[in-house]
Amino acid sequence: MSKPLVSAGPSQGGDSHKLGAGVAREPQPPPREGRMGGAGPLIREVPPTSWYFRHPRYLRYMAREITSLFVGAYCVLLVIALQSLAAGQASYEAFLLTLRSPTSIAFHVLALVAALYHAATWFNATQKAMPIQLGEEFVPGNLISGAHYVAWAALSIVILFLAGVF
Amino acid sequence: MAKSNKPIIWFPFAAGGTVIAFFIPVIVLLTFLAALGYVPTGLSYDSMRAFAGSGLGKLLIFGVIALSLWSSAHRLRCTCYDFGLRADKLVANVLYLAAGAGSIATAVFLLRI
Amino acid sequence: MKERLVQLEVLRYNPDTDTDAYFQHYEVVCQEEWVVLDALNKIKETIDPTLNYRWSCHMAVCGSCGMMINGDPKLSCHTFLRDYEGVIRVEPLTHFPVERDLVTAPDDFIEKLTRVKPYLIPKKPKPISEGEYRQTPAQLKRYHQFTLCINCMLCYAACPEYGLTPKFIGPAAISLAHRYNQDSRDGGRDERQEIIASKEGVWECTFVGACSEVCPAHVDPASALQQVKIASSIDWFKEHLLPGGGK
Repeated sequence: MSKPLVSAGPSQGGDSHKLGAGVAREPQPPPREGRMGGAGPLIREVPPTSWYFRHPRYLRYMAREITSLFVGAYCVLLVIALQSLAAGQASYEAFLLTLRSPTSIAFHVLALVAALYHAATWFNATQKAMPIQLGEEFVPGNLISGAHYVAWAALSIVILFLAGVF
Repeated sequence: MAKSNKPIIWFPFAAGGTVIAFFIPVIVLLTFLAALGYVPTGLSYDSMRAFAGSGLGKLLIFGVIALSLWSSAHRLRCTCYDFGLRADKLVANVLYLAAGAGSIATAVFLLRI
Repeated sequence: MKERLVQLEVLRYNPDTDTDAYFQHYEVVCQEEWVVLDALNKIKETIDPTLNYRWSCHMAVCGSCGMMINGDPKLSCHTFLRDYEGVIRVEPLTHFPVERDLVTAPDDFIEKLTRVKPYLIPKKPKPISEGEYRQTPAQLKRYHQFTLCINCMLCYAACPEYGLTPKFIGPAAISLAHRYNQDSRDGGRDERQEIIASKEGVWECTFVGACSEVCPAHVDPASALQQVKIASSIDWFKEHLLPGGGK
């Protein structure tokens, strides 16, 4: 019973006269004309396709989840790259050329943003999923997440170096 | 009520999420450079053949792609549900099968190198 | 003391006569340092005695005055008027049936809380003559944060997965199960895992994190649930891959 909310107060006058202090449950009044009496508890259903517009925190969450679409698509691109690599030099170099299309460049920008957002949210979450207690005290959460960021930066630099970027 | 077998799905999802966080941004950066016309020497045919030809290279490539695909598939499944798509079983089957197929293809291509 | 005219839009619903809820507008003069609950109390005392809501301690301890304030689940005794401008919209907690005005039915949460056995289950019976259970400060600290839950249900109102899948046992109940699982005096983890590692348990959580953002007691349920997921996964692999179920 999903019901729209009425923003005016059509029955406020009548109600306030009828219920007195309004704390205790009073004997049920007879249903009034033109109204359905005794509807019982009201279920205010959450709109299942648009609930995330209710608060910015839900939009941030949905943004995090949607990164999977771009990361997944990028993994498909990697599989295709591997296919062309297995097929020989001509095929692989043709693949590298197709990467230069404007669509590919636009997709790379989106995939990069998605991958970075995923990484940041993931590292920020590590302190919640894996708290570390040393002796009596817990290691400060930011130290756990920070260590992940440092390791990530180091690993990325090593990979860029091995790939001959610098 | 019995314990759920969800860990079979969730554990590789969590592992994949970690792999994506650590590896995918820098890999995207590398192919992005190639897309901009600057192909890093490590992405040349000879270097990539040598890397994918080694046992360690095969293992790394397969691990990163298979886990990332699985993680993305699982998260997309949850996202579909969050967007109000209630055919969860169908969505799950399609996405997990796609991730599995991608992983098998990765293994097949790697074995050809 | 400074006074201020505060405007509130309060959701009204009378189950005996109304088929639907509606917003009622109130204007009330409040002290600058008052909280939303003070404004509601003044409305009830001076303008409209029919307004229904729950409250008790007025100091963020009892957990009974939770409501949606401008769309955010809050304890109304802990929400200062000075932090708001314009009309303040006050609604009952989402995801719970509205009994009357701002009063919701907590039955679903209570039932789930009961199900996860949120109490100490000793490893083996211990007569009083054997003395008390002893615990080091480190053992206490291991679970202390999760003892701070005041059962206010704000996390349930914030959790979209609970809204989408009402069977989900939810943040507070699973956090409290985790609290006892982490207690060195407790031996009831296996019993609780049957509930919280089930299909309706922790696996419905997608780590939105809203529960921890709204928790007025800084319990951090999202953290508890992720820890339960990891521990439950380790259980599963032990039970299915190790000979003898890893016991």
